[in-house]
Amino acid sequence: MDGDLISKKEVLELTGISYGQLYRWKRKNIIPEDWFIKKSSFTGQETFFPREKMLPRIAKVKELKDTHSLDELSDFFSPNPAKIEVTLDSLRLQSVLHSDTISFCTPLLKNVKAIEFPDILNMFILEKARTRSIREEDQKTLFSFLHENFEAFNSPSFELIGLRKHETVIWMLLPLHSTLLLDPTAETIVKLDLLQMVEELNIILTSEINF
Amino acid sequence: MSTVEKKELHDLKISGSGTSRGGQFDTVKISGSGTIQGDIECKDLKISGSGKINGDITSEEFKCSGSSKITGSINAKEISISGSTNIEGSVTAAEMSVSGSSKITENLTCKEFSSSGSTKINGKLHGGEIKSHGSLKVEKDCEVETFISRGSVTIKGLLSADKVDIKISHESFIKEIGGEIIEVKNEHSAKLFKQVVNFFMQRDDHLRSDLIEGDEIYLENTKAKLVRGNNVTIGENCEIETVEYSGAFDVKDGSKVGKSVKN
Repeated sequence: MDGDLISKKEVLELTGISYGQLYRWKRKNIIPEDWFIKKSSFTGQETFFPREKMLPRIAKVKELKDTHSLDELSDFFSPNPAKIEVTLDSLRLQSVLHSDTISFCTPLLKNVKAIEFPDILNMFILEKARTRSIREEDQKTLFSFLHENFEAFNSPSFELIGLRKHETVIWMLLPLHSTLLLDPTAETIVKLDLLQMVEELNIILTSEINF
Repeated sequence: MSTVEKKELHDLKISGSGTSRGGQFDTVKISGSGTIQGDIECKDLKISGSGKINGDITSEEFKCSGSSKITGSINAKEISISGSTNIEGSVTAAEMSVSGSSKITENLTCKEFSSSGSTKINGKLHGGEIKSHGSLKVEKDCEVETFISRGSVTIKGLLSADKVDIKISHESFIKEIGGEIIEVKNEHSAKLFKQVVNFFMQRDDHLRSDLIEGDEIYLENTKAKLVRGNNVTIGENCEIETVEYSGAFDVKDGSKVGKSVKN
């Protein structure tokens, strides 16, 4: 995690945002508190941010800030996803998910009329994973694994890892930023930051669908 | 006794000395010395003597003009304290005004907060508009939209606000300040006694801070390690170790700036 940090000064120079904006966004949790990393430097203390997260986040906020209020933005990036219920049809119509994914998941869902955020998220994650030529059986395992073990509302700070050795696929959830050492004969087929998935889906759902 | 039936809420009054259990009520009044054991949910709660509530309070209005102690948290639309109140939990309110003294052990979240007495918060302060005429102490961060202070202020964490407007008339300390417009001025005391004391003691009240960052910064009577901003003006009686600025920079006579860097 220590690797690529960017100083506050550099962030302001590169992105052209002001101190006022930066502090305002921090207050609204658009920039999460734990991205503010304090380190002592020759001027006393300096604040740094994880570069690969901070710059895209600011770009996204700048892009959305004219069309959305700060509170809406704060909801997009909130780790507590929106409480919504939609029908499968509207997900298909609004092309949030591919119709392939939807038809694949339909038999696995309990209530097709009112799908809540966690299930949409699980489908969304599954859709990303589907691109890596994984057998249907393993996809089903993934879906029910997420359904039973992943609580998007409470603790989304996980990374989904899919490992394959020969024909066997193993799914696991690891706390974010943990290191994983792997037997070289096994292959990592899926690696997804679930917190990021929550954000992506939040933005798609809130900005593209008007229920 | 069917529980499904809609309950008519009763009033609870304690005058003299008495103890009651908590529960749901319409109006609750304590005018002697009263204790409520348990959580209480009501429309309005008034304490005008000495009250003790061993539980959480959920009420539209909460007024205390005597002395009260609450061992739980308060959730209310409007809180007004004109006596002394000690809250051992956290407080969430739309509006809160304190004209006596209040102490909150956990966080305070409040849209509009005004204090003209003394307020001490051991947790964080989150809010919209904060006005303090008196003494305000916050042990952790203070994140608000507008922060106005006259008197003395101590914030041991970060003060973050769109607008910071401070007039100092007592020694103050804020570890870090960040915002859009930051203005710190010296309030010339109207009290003759204080003027005389300050004159003989060769003393001025200062705001001490480690870091001040903002777009527009104006400072008087401030001792800071690092000030960073777009337009920075250092007024009278300041001691600043380093100023970094990107727009305009100005120092008034009599202020010391160790180093200034234009970015």
